[in-house]
Amino acid sequence: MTAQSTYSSSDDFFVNTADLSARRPPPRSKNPVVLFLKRPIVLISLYLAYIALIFVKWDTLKDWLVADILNRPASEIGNGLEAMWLALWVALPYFIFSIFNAAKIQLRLRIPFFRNIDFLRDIAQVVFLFVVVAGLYTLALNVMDNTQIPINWNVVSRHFPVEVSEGPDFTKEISWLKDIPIIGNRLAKADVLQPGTTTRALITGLINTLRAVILALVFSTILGVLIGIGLLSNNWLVRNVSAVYVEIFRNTPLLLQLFFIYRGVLGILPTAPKDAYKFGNFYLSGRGLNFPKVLTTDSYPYFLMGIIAGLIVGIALWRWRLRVQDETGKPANTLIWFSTAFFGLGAIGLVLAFVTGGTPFELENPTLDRFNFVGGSRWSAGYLTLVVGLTLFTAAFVADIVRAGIQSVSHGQIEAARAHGLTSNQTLRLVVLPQAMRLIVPPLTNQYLNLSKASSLAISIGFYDLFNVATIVQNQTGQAVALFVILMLTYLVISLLISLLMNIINRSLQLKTR
Amino acid sequence: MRRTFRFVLALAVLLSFVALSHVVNDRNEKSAFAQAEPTGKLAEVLARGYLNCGISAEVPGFSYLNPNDNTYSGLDVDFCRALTAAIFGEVTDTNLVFVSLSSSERFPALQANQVDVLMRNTTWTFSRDTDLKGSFGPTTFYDGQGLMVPASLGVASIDDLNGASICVQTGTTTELNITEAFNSRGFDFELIPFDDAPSSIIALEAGQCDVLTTDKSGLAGLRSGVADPSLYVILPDTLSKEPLSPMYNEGDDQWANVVDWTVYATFQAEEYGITSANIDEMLASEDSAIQRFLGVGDPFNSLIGLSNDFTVNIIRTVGNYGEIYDRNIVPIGIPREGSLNALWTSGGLIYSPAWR
Amino acid sequence: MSEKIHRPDETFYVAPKEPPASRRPPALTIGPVGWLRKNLFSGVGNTLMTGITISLIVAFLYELITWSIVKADWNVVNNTMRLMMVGLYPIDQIWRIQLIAVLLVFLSGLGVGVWGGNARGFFIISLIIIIAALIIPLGAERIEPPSIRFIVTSTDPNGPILFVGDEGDTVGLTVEPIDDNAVAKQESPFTGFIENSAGASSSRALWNNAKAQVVAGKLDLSQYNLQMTVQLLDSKGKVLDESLSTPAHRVVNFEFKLPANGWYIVQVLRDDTGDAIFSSVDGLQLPVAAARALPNTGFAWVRIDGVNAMSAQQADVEQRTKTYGGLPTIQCPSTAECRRQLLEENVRYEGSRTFKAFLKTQLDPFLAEIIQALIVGFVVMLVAYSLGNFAKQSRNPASKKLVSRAAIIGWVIFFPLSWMLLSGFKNATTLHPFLELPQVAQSLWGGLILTIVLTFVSLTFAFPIGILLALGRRSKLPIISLFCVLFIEIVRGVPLITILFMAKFIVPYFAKSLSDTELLIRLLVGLTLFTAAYNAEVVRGGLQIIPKGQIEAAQALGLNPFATNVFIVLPQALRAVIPAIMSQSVSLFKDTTLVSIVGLFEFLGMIELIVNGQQVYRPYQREAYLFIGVIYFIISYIMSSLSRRLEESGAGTVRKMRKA
Repeated sequence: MTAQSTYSSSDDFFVNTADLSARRPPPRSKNPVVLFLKRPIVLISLYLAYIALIFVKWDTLKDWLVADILNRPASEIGNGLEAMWLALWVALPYFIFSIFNAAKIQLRLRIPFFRNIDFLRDIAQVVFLFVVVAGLYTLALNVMDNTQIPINWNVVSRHFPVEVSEGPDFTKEISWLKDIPIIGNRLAKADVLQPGTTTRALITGLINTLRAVILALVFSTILGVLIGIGLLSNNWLVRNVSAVYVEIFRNTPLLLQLFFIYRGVLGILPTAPKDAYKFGNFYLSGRGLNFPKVLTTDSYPYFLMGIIAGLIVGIALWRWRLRVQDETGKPANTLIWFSTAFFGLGAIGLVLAFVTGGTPFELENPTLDRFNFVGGSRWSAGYLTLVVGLTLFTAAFVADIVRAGIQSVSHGQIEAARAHGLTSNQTLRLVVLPQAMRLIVPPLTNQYLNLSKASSLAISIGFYDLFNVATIVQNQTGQAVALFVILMLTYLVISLLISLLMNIINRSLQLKTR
Repeated sequence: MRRTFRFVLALAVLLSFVALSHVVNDRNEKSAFAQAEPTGKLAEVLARGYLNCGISAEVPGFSYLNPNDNTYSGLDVDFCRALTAAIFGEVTDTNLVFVSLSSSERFPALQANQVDVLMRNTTWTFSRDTDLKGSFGPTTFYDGQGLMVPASLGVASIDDLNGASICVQTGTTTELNITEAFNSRGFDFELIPFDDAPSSIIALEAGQCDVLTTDKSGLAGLRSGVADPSLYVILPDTLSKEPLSPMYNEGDDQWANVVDWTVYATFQAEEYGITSANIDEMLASEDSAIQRFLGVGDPFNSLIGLSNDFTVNIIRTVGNYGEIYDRNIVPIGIPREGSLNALWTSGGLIYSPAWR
Repeated sequence: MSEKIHRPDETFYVAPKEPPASRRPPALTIGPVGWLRKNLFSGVGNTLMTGITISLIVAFLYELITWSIVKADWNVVNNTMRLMMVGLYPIDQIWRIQLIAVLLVFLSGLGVGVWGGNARGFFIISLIIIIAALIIPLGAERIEPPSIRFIVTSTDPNGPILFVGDEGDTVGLTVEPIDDNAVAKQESPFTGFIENSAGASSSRALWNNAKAQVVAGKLDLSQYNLQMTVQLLDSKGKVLDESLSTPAHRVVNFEFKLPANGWYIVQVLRDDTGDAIFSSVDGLQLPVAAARALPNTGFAWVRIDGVNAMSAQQADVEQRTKTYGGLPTIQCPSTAECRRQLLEENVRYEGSRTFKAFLKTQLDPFLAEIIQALIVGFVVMLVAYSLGNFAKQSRNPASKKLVSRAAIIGWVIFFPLSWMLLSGFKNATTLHPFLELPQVAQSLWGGLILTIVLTFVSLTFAFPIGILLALGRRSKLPIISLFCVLFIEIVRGVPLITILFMAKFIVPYFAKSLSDTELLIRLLVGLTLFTAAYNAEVVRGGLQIIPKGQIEAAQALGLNPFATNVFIVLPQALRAVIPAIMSQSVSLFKDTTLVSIVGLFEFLGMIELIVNGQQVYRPYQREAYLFIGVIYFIISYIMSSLSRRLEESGAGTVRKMRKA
């Protein structure tokens, strides 16, 4: 009945101290300092500070190893040995901590450390940490030794000698940098942000990637939803054609589709600009799509103010009408109220603009020069291929996800909605889609991430996206390591942002239960 | 029965891994042949038993792989063969490995020692010599950067090309030169990058760009491969000097000597009039300079770390520089007379240092 | 309460087979008409959509089919089949790849037979396809080959044209002078083959030049007064027949029945100077026509009917040499313009192709190339399937066990065995002569076989690594869990192409000994790590659905954590995620195409090399891409339908939901 002070049994060799501690709880310290130190966040920050200290004092430590312990010249110390020394220091606190714990348990519960499972687990982790840190540091040192060219992080402020023909011109000053409060002036003078540097070229590449990715995301979602609904259509033909589309685009590689569009489809359009197909002021040729550029004039701010005012008032009215509906049960007619406010105020803004200075927008049309179009905006063939290819490919996956999501809503819901007298449209809008969205959003996030990563295939069709620009820099300067680190970090950040955004949307769709 | 099955299965897995290790490790086995004198890279190549030669495999006239019969041909390919003959005595099926590299991967491959020497129509420039930690051998082809346009455009020179779309290969000096040339003239232009030469000529044929720019020899080679070469004209402008030379890693003087003097051997052979046809008669020549060059008599040539008759092996395998040129460059339409690639005695720059 | 009191002698009401007319459903709702009304035309909107969709589909399919038959040239596929399938693998060692393919088909058949369901439908469809592939060439034999044209001008007569013929073939030679300027302005005035080789003096280049000059007004074709003799010679140089074309007697044609199998030569002689164009055949002087008085200018085509364009594939060349002997040797002033054979690569079809011409020139050669592989594959698979099925259905359970274990051992041995077969041994001759397998460098592997090697090897190694990562991520040890999470998230957050570039450029720096590693091995490591990270996520999903009760029960039984994982958790988790892993494998199969950007020539990369690198194939990119698109589609579709079948058979989580 009473707990024994020592626990020993012949058929349980390894002892889990957690079980035992439940029988005889350890004395809890009431000291506030100790309690504060035991919080995980404090421990972690202390550990990180310790690691920083190691890196700062690394030379001293190395000298200690070289001179006092091994007594050999520094050049003879292999990379592996140096890495193991670092790993030893990094793993040391954890090791001391685990020995300390094991000693405490031994004193209190009289369990020898070689039977203490917690201690064994800690030792396993210490060994793992040691091996991983030593291995990674050995690799890093080997890389730095074996590259003929020393790794030079200043490659980002070097002059970028090649023209990147698409996206914002990186040889111009960024005019709005100085306007940023506090750090604006320092930023404007920074080496890496001067016109013509590698960083600016990489930023141009990044903006090109984002242009392609955002457009492809929007279009593929729209197309995917349409085809997903087509997959569930009553019409046998539409259903099967959608299924054929989905099967074809899911089972062929994306690179093949991009090549086909770039060479096979865009390749058969006439390439000389003078032969381009003309739709009004839009010119489509094998080199790309040239269309009028929309420029804003001086009277634009008035129009913009009208639009913004319309938006704010419209949204306020929308919320007010919903509240009215909740309280009194009268129909909300939100759309009518919103549209009236929005368009009304927008029209007032437009009239103001006209009165003060003329039209708020003007178009700059592309005109045919000797070799190409000048003026106007242009989407190059590579950009068009990337957007169209990514759209078609991702839409097939999105369609399947949408179909699975809508089908997952149990039929009873639809029957109940119809029984209540909701029309087909209202059922879809108010009952089916909100529930289906819950199942659709997580796999959709996956597809969006895949799309953003697949945009790196632009290198094979000659579009200057981030990856392409980075490889150009790597070719000309030879700094492979530095550039790939920058590249991977950028893609990780993009993926993180997309996941965060989709997670927010996901959370807002979750059932708000008690 | 179950135990037997598990035993047999385990045995199968074990045996297959053992066998696999043999196959995977085979490449690193050292052959029995070793030389006392060679050091560094030369020793490594001899021990390995084959030479890794980096080429392009896509440029007609310089290094071209014909997929139908898997044969390599070109000026750079012939120099690879010359180097192999100098080191191993002759070129066999196994002692010369061609590594096909695109313009963007050639330097990393050389720096990582995946190839021993880069014979890939690489321009000798200041930044490559210093920044990329490479060294260059003697120039095997003096070239310049040119522009090729469709004849139908009616363009006479580079000054007519404001606003043009330009096809170019990434990772090359042509990329930099064309940017500079157009920027200095204040022209608008659009660069369309390609990773390899054939894609760029396809784009020019399809009309996706107005101009193709690369070395003039490359332009001639690419033009020779199109259906109707008369549709394209190479503009008279030369945008830059492009001395194409072999490239190898810095820091190994013996290897540098081996590569350099292999190239010089072909120049010197042409100067002495030795060809692959008359090598046997020349071996019996009375001229002491020729005797010394061909390794007849004193072991003079073996100072470099190769066999004494390495020049004879080179000439037997590929001939002298004139033969190499005629075999590879003349068919793509670049005549030698009057160009920089003529022998120095004919007013060109092909000049070997004294062989003594 | 029943109304009718049932009396024993009354019969029950049995409904008639055919309901009476008043009780049948309305005629318009049953049968095919009813189906149409319900599915396609059920409302205004539906009818409209059906109309639009049908018109779009019909237009699209019509365009596609007419383009494929009439305009497309599929010879880019026919002629480069070997390159696409095995890359630059040495031709005399291809038997090793064929052996691997046969083994793979055998093991697959065995597996399907022992473990799979009823595959009868698959075999019936394959049989139908094979029979069709055998019948079509028989029909194509009887179709007349399209005519082949070579141009002759006064300054550029074409060299001797060589072809092979069988005894009894009738060859027709015609001289077509072009004296009508309107012909030159047409898009394609001829149907049939025109010489298309690169070079300024090829028929195609000369014809294009002349067309341009006629359009520009610089050339007037009606001023024809070209005179020439067209001769047919045998391989020894003996003239079999000849005919003369003069301004007075312009069009010349004659037919000739070939006396024996062998090589034949068509030669065109200019007449004004009396010179033969080429000097000798096998040392014999060719006969020369006498000098004529009129000057010799103009433009004409020599048309050859009844002869097939020959294939340039090495195997076909060897076959031809064996049957008909080697090329007759001709001495010419320059090698470039000397020998012209009627090779498929050097001639291009002009004009709209008829269906018959399509059968004869494109479908027939394609079927001839694949029919042998199809038949062998079919027979081997049938044998293996019957073996497996027989064992599965036999009454003796021991035989099923034996066969299934043999299959497992076979699969396990297969992967290292095929790798050994593919790469060979370095010191081949010192081994037992039976095992002589000369080493094939990995840089020569290419084509479809390389895609399959990449997929299989990555999958095999990524699977255990993925499981370890998933278990590590769920581990309670914080450092291991942190490391696994970091690894998985970083590898999943970057594009595959970045990892491949890193594998190619940075891995050689990791250690001096690694710099010599083959590119293939490096890229395999990159692909494996990438797939392992994705697999880890998939397996993690499977691990999450294991009810906690399982683990608690295992602990109650006294199993340590290792045993719990291996015997209780993993089997359930893996069975649940097999469909997801299969779909990940399909993804990997498609992602191997990225390897072509980094320099390995797998299937897509090989096509790029062929279509970009060889001038003759550059206009045919769409055909090449469509072909490999179809191949990728077939293989991916088979893999994903396999996974769907697995899912339906209860391998996935669906089983749990059904039972609950």
